[in-house]
This record gives sequence, structure tokens and C-alpha cells, in this order.
Amino acid sequence: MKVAGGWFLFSLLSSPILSGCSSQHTYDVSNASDRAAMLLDIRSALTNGDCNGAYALSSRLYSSPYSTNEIRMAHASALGCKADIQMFVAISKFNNFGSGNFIGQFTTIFNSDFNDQRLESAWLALDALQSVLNSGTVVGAADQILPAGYNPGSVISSDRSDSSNVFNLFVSMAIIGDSLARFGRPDLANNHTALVQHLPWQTQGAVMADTTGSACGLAAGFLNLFDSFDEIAGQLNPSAASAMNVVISKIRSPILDGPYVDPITSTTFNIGGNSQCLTDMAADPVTNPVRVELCRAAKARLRYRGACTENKANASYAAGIIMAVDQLWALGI
Amino acid sequence: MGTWNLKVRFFAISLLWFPAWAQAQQGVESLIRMPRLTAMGGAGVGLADDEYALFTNPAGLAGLESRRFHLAAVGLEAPLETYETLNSSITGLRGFDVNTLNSLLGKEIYLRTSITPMFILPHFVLAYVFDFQGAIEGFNQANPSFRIGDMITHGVQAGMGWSLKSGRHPTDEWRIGISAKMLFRRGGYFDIDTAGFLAMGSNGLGYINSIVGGYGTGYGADAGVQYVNHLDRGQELMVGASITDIAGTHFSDPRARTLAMNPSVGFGYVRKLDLFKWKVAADFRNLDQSISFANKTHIGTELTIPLFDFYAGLNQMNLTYGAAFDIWILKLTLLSYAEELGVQNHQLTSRRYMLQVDFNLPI
Repeated sequence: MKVAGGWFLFSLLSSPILSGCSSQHTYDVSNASDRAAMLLDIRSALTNGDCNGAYALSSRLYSSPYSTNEIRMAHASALGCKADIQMFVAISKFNNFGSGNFIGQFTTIFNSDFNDQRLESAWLALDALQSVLNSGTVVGAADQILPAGYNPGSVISSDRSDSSNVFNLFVSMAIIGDSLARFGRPDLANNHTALVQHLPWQTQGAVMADTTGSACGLAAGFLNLFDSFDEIAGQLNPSAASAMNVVISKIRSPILDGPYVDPITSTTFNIGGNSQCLTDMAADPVTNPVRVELCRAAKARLRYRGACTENKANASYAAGIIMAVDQLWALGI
Repeated sequence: MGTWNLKVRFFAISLLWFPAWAQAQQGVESLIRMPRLTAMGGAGVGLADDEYALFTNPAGLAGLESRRFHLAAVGLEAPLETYETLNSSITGLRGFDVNTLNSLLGKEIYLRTSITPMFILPHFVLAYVFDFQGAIEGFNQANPSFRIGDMITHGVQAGMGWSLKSGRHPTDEWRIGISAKMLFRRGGYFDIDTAGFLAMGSNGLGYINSIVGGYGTGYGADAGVQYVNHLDRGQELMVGASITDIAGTHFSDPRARTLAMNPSVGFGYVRKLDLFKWKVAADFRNLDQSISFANKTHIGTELTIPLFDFYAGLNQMNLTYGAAFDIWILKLTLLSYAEELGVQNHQLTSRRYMLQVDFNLPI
């Protein structure tokens, strides 16, 4: 009987211990349990600020046929981390907008130079967020973003989940702040309120010649900022919504539509996406008769940061946006 | 029974476990936290030799011969981090801003308390259950999300066990048992994403109440079987299997967390000496869940000497330990255990500490 007891205890203790020793951490994305474990590891890494660790895991999931909305949000979060977005820290800096000079203040919350990958990470985060669609959403061909991959998106913000739109607000602000810091060089000595260097890409040709995607990314950043705010304003507490609304309402119309009349000097500035688009389209006898429709479509399409190479109207609209941003910043708005 | 025969039986039973081992989701909660079982690594389905068999394997109730009344078994448990976090949070709250929220990310605040008075009669136990769980955890600095736990459960559970005595061998004993429960539960554990966080910011407690909901009523049943082989006067071997919350115990308010079905199997071994009693137990629980094999594994041991019990074990391959001081009507149990909150072994391990005070009277 002693022999039986010993054999019993050995078999009791050995198999679980051996099993525990062999617990695997080389994940197989085709295994549902491993995917769940990877998502937990991504969450832990993001909690600890390990952006690269989170990205290494999330990119494996995101680029697989098993990608889901949860994976897309996790990937967007990992890229947001690499873009140096910390939502609570960003919110604590929102009162910077209280001093006016709204355009320049974006660079006090987010900024980037050519030696980091923050802007590029924010672009990719935007792509991921635009693919977090509400269930049952059917996206028309004209509104699709990157339809060939595992993460097709939509340019229409109401097609996307609330969580996606909330984070998109911050990602869009990061794209704007990073782009302006890199290419407009804010005047650091004066609290970023003045630009040291005018923004490039203020013509249709310059936008189309930009192979980095920076011009279109900046234009898409503003359009997505306005969209995200519209989608979530009702969920914000009233004081936060009111403060954000002051900023948005001040810059939205001159950036998207133009022209802008300076209330102090009464000078009219022919800036704004729609204004520039209509001007450029009118110059071409082929596009002139349908310029209004072309520019309306360009405004809708430019939520996609790769839209500037699709047609000239999109590029013209983006150029008008950049021209407006540059002028408003110079005017201290 | 011959030694070889015993080996063959255990080998056959082990083989039956393999299909369950092959399955690869999160663990399942227990209705109450049982201190002895917790200190023994969560193993007790096979052993099932005390009144808490009501909650693990009601077949074990067939072995109960005493008549006692547990006036109030009061348990309190929390991770050490909860005390540290609450302490720093109170300091932070004096200058509260969004940075305070950021500092809470990654910290686990968890508190659980149970009160379980029980009537214990031979082969029968009737228990009243009260259990409160509260938790807040924040994750992800880039795009924060929160997990909030707010759950209160109370109700009654009663169970009975029958001994079928010997079959072919005089040393064999088969036991079966069933239990039934009527519970009232409010809340559960809820994941709150950034959109929910914004709603919480604008609607405050109204939002929390809307997700937690009201009390729902639920009815559930457990069943178990236990085989006991009295090897000799000083040794017993047990094998048990149970299914708690058969088909899941669902509540009338769908926001109240369902008690998921938990099929389990386990072994037990008891060695009695003059003043000492040594017990070993091993369970494989949550057999229908897609969690790693290690996370299903529970192993524990107990050494009983006059006035004291000492416990040790592995709960999902994490060390558990504890001791109890038992003097007639009062039993104090202090223990530490670690719970695996992840999918993989040692992925998200939370170490917790528990104290239970149990007043019980012979009747």
C-alpha cells in the first residue's frame, strides 16, 4: 500500500508541475487562446509604457486574418503610445487653449521632429481607428479606406465606434501638433504662438509632389479632428465640450471653407479647403462645370490621409487647408 | 485491493481527463471564498471532507457526521497593493487632477468580504451566503480603459450527500450529492472604455448604476460524486468529480454576472497518525474553459496538529499558504493566495491576503 501511495503522489504532483514549466509564450496568432493572451500582454505593456513591446504584438495580430475591432483598437493604442499620446496628460494640457493662439497651441500638447517616429505612428493609428466599424456597417466604394487588407475602413465617422472616435480626437490632435512642429517650427521662445517657418504644400502641385504623405496627413488630421469632436461632443461633460467647442468653432470654417476676414483689419484672406479647390477646379475647363461636386467629394474623401494622390481636387482641397492653417497661425488665431 | 489494481484505476481515470486537458478563456469565479480550500491551492473537489463541500462537491457531505452551527464565518480579502494604492490615492486626491487618474493606471484595487452562517447536520448543510466584491483597475496610458467590479450576492444554498457504501470491496465507498441554491445578485465586473469613461465623467454615479443594474434572482444546482477507498485504518484515497452551477446560474437582471458552470475532477489522500493528520488534494477545475492547463490546476496539502492547521498549495501554479488556529468555538484563518487573471500561466498574477473569523457551536 505504501507503494501505491507514493506512485499516487508522484503522478499527482509531476504532471501539473511539468505542464507549468512548459507554459508557452511564443504565441500562435491562429490560436484563439493565444490571441486573448496577446491582447492581455498588449494591455499590460501599454499600462507600463512599453510602447515597442505592445506594438510588436499588436502588429502581428493586426496584420493577420484574425484581426477584430478589439485588435484594431489595441493596435491603435500601441501606435498612439509610440506617438507619445497619453490621454490624461493631454487632457491636462487642454487649458493651454484658453490663452488663444489655437493653432500654435496644438504643438504645446503634441510635437515631433524628424528624429522620432511620433508623426508616422499617429498616421498609422489613424488608419487603424478608421477601421473600427460599428457592426453591420456597409461602406460604399467611394468611402472605403484600404479595402484590400484585413482592416478596411470608412471615411464616415458615424460608421465607426464611439471608442474609435474618442481616441481619434487625440490621434488627430497628435497628427496636427506633430506636423506643425516638424514643418512649421513653432517659436519656442514665445510659447509656440508664432510660426518660424511657413508650412510647405500650399498649392495643389506641391501637395501632389509630396511623396511623404505629410501634406495630406495634416489635412486629414484637421478633418478627423472636427469629425471626432462632432461625434463625441454629446458625451463630454458640458464644460469640456464648451471649451473644445470654442476652439473648433473658431478654426473650422476658415480652414474648411474660407475665405477668412480678419475682424481687426477687415482684410480678406482667400484661404480654406473649399475656396482653394473651387479656384483650382475653375481654372480647368474640364473640371469647371462640376467643380462644386468635385470639391464636396474631396472634402469627404480627405479624411483618408492617402486621398491626395487620388485626384487633383483632393490635393487642391488639402492645399487650401494647409494654406489656411499657415495663415491662421501667423495671425495668432 | 492490490497495489497493481489501484494503479490501473488511477491510470484509467487520468486518461479520462485528457480530452479536457486538450481544451484550451478566463477562470470561473467561486460563489464564496473558502479559506481552507483557498490556502490549499483551491483543491478540494476530490477531498471534499468538510462543510464547504456544499460549494465544491456536495457528494462530500455524505461524510459529515457532526452537528454544528457556524454563527458567522466572516472573511475579508484584498491584495497588498490595494492598501498601498488607497493610501497613495488618498494623498493624491487632496490635489486631484487627471494626473491622479494616470497614476492609478496599473494599480489593482480589490476587496472581497463574505459572511456565511451555516447549519451543519449529518450529510446535510444549509448555508446563507453574503458576498461583496469591489474592484477598480485602470490600464493603458495611451487610451485608458477601466475594469470596475461592483457585485453583491446573497441567498441560501442547501445540499445533501448520500453514501452508497460498498460495492464489490468492503473498503470501497461511493458517495453522491446534490445541492440547490436561490441567490440574489447585483452587478459584476465591467470593462469601461474611453467612450464609457467620458459618459462616466458627464453622468457620474448615474452611469455606474446604469451598467451595474439592480438585483436579479437566480436558481442553480450542483451535483457531485466521490469515491472513497479506505485503504487501512490510517489512510484514505478519494477521487471526486462535480459540476457546480449546472448549465450556469443565470439571474433575472441580465447585468448581474452569471455563475458559470464549473466541471471539475480531483484526487484526495488522507493519512492519519496519532496526533497528526496529513491531507493532500489535487483538482483540475474549469474543465470546459479555454484556459491553459496550468490555470486549471490546483494542488494543496494540509497538516493538522492539535489547535493548529497549516496549509500550502499551488493555485494555478502560484504558491498559496496559510494557517488556522482552532479552539473549540473559534477558528481564525490567515492565508495568502495568488489568482491568475490572465489566459496564460503567470501572465497576470494577483497576490491576495485573506482573514477569516469563524464562530461555530456544536448543536
